[in-house]
Amino acid sequence: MQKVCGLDDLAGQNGTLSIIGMCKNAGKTTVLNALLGSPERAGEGLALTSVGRDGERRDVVTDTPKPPVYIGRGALAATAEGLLPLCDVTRQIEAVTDVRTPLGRVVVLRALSDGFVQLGGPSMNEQLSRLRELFFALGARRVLIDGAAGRRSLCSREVSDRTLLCTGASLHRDMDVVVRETAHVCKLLTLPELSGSFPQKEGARLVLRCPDGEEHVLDAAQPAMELRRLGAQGVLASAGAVTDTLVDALMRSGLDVCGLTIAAREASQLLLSAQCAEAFQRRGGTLAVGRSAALAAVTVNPVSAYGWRFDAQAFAESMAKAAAVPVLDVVGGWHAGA
Amino acid sequence: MQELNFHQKEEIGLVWVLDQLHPASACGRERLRAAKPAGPAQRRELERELEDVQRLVQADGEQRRLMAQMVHIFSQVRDVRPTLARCREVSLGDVELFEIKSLLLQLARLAPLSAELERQLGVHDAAIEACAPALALLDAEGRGTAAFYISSLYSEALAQARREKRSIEEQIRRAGADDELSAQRAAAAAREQNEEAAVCRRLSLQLRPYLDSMEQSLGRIARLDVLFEKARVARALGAVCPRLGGDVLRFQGLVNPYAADAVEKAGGTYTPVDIAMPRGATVITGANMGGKSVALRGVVLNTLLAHMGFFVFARQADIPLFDEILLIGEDRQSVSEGLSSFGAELAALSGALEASRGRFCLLVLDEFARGTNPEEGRRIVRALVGYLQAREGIALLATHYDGAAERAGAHYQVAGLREQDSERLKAELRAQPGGFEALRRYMDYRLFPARAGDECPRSALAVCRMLLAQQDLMRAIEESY
Repeated sequence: MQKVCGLDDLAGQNGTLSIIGMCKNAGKTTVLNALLGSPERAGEGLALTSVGRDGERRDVVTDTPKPPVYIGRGALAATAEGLLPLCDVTRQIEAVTDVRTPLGRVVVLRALSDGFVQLGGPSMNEQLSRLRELFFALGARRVLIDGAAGRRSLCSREVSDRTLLCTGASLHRDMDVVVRETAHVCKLLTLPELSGSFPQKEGARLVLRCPDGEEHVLDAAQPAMELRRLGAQGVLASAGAVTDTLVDALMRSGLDVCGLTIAAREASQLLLSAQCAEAFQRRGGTLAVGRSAALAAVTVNPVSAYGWRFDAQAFAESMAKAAAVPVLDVVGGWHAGA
Repeated sequence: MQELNFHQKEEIGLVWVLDQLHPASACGRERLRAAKPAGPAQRRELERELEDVQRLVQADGEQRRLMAQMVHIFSQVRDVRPTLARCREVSLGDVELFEIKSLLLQLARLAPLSAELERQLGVHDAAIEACAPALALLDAEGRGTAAFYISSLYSEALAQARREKRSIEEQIRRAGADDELSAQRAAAAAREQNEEAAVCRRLSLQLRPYLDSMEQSLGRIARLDVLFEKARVARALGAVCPRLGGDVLRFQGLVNPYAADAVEKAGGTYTPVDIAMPRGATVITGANMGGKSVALRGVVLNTLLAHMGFFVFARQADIPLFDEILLIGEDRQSVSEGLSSFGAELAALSGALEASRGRFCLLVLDEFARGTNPEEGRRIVRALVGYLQAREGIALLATHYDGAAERAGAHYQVAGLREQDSERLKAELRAQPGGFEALRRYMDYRLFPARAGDECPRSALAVCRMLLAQQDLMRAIEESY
């Protein structure tokens, strides 16, 4: 077993780090706290926000206990106006943003003392991107964005420089399923980038770039028919999400996908299930992305919020075998390089 | 004054004109959205508004730079009027105090600029008060930065609670948090929050004497913001200051900028028109597609704009102040509600006549009674012209019914197509079917006072010849003449 060092490296790097989860209770907030470290470290130069809601003592959805978030003086935090009474840092209001949440407008505060914060920030990438700029303008060097379960769009480079994917026993009772599902998401997030520019046409959902370089706009309602007409060779670029519905339809139509690459603009927009992606690749199809995500590591939480737990070491080891990125257990202290 | 419905505002081009204005501040945008035409009772305010637009239109380069500086600050001003209103009732929190402090900082920057604007250009009510004592209240440490925090300088009890909390936090930093330290810290944090709430209550009370001034400043920012935009658009589109008053509505070189924009985008040139409407009824007759409706809408639009304190799109304009400006044209909404188009017109006319009883109104009717049978329509319009001629207000009607203008006080005709042009146009349209731009090019849209006995031009046949491609149908039409 190796010593935990990867997390410290990650926590110390300048830029934006986002934390996304495979499911609820995957241990995101625990990882956030591990990244924050002591109040001395979680102070000046640090900024944080959350896409969901963080810092409350119990999960409002699953009613399971959650670790509170404790920051040091000097840190910046963005949270909804309605959560301010639940923060106990002495605070200076730095900005009131235009972003509105169900709990009020998002406010940026600077902690003038150590203390607890409850976070609830913007959820759209464009808002997060502007908030990040504001954080940097207010003196932050490191920005941490805590994601919500299933919010993969956070790992877009528009928002973050690095992403941590949290997984855990809460995803499924069967450890093999957890490892397989997580490894699949890792694979999608680290797919190779297309060489050359991403094929796109104003207002078009699907664009086919043929091997001769010519680009055709496809009717998104019947892509298989159009592809057959055009030869089904080259790069099929999707302006929106790439889903099972699209890929299944192509395969079921009996189209020969050997020589066809399906590409999403952002890695986070590839939302294929493991089953569908594998079937497509078995038939000779290729998956690619316009811009890959910077997946820095996978964290594992062997304890489920629903009452079962995995063997920490076995879980971390099989995850490390299945994923091509470093794997960390921030509580157990287990760490494996890629 | 009754407002036109949205469809009418869109049709006459008012929506287009208002869309050309881009106030920088939230309250400026709100003011523009809520802008309504004023009546004769607000004559003084209207005149002041127009004088101010005039002064801003004439601003030189240096003065425009001053305005640009102010606009830059306007763009950062939030509409905190709801917060100011809350401050009269309850105690504000730190986020709200932050917003008020931001406003006060902006007011402090605007104060010297607005004083300069008032001194140099004489714009009414331009001076924005800095409210320095209020800013001093919220900037206890005198840092002049936008950030706000409830300073320990406000209260010794607060400073004490924070010292205690800090010392517990230091212990937690050294030794980690155990239950006892956590409990002690929570208790200190609660004392701190209580003291902060007390300070917020006190600050809110101390701010109250300045709320009126801040509200007034926000109102002035909104007004100046819209004024600057009125002046900018007037300069950009060449609008002039209307002369208010009198009882003749008169335009020289009248332009409907909305229609002009469409014509120019299609590669044509727009023809301004001259028209004078004394008390009574004025009738415009003329060729189909000759621009009667465009002229009519131009009259309504510019008269409305003047009543909203805008410059007007003409070379020169005399505009009486009306109690009501009423437009009756095709009303899609009533038609979709089940009235026939003629029924809808009658209902609108009846309502308009009722609304204008005993008041000085502008009533504009576009092709009234076009939806009923022409023989009856002609009689009805003739009688209506006579009726309106005898009334107090000013009425303007566009029609192609013969003899409708007989009883009118003034009668204009659209020049229309000249005979020789109509042959050339026909050739062009043959070559390029559907080329309506060609029609626009040859059509003479000018208005001329009609001579006594001038008949309504018979242009329908000529238009049929130009636009109908079916020779057999054309022959049948010609035979029926």
